[in-house]
Amino acid sequence: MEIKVLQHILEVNDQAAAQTRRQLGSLGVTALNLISAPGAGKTSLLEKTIPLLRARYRVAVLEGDIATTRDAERVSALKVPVVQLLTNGGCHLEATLVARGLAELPLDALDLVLIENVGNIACPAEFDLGEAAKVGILSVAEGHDKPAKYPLLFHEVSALVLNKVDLIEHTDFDMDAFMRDFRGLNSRAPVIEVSCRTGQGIEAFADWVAGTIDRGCQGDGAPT
Amino acid sequence: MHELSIAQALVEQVEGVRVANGGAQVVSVELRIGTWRLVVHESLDLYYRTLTRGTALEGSRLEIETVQAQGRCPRCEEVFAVEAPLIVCPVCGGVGGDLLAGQELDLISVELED
Repeated sequence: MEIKVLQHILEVNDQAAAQTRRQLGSLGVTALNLISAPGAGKTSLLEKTIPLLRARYRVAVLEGDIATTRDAERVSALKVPVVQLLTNGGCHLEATLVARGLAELPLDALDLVLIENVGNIACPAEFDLGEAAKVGILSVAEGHDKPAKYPLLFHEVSALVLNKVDLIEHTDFDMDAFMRDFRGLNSRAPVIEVSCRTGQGIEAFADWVAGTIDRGCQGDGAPT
Repeated sequence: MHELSIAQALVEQVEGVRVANGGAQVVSVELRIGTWRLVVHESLDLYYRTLTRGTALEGSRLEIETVQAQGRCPRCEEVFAVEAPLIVCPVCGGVGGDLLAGQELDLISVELED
């Protein structure tokens, strides 16, 4: 007996994400999904950017981790609400877990929720969380070849933060090759050069986040 | 590595279909996957077989139809087959075109024992 189904394999996830997107849209809350490899600087970027955003916006953080609460402890020092999402071994966040995390936040008193995904640039790109936009973070130490090796992520991001640019002269990172490959995947997303260590570019990233909030960007992050 | 995540979602979905349709043993599962997804079929198959061991899905076959990724050049409008990983127009070299096909990741049907 053949049962016709014709459903996206990640249908359960996508339905939960769509519901989150509707909820956040109706409350006027912008959610950003931060994705990078381990050690590229997701938490450092939050630590540097939140103090700039906090003056204008009500900010909260969902902190995805496989097993520890260390990043949540770092972020909670910034005096913004933080909810830890433990995947217990899972290599990415899923929309149902994010929805449970959002339920613990005072959403009607927020403008921005920053979701720090689990460190991984393969699986998180597959799972819509209901965010307004995905932000990719790549550190120059990882190499300029990463867009071509992980095309799904680099195709999906609305902005790419290139971190640790203060180290660039000590690496073999080829900016021209990087830009050529990245533009081969994504013609629109701005590339924001940042050093979380020196503070370079942090304001530019905060401005991009502010612009995304001010455009009322809650509902256009759905994957195509 | 994303094949494990996909296999886990697939197994849950197939189990849902099976239970909703009388609960018989699963014979085969038909999928449609675009090349842009960069899913390694052998890897997906291995995870599927591992996850279904000892369940009513054990022994069922994955039948995967591949959809070639297609892009449209933003400059010359040429429609072309995308050779992963980059979306580069073979006619004029234009980059960053829209994807017309290749992002499929669909469960098409489930065959249950009669």
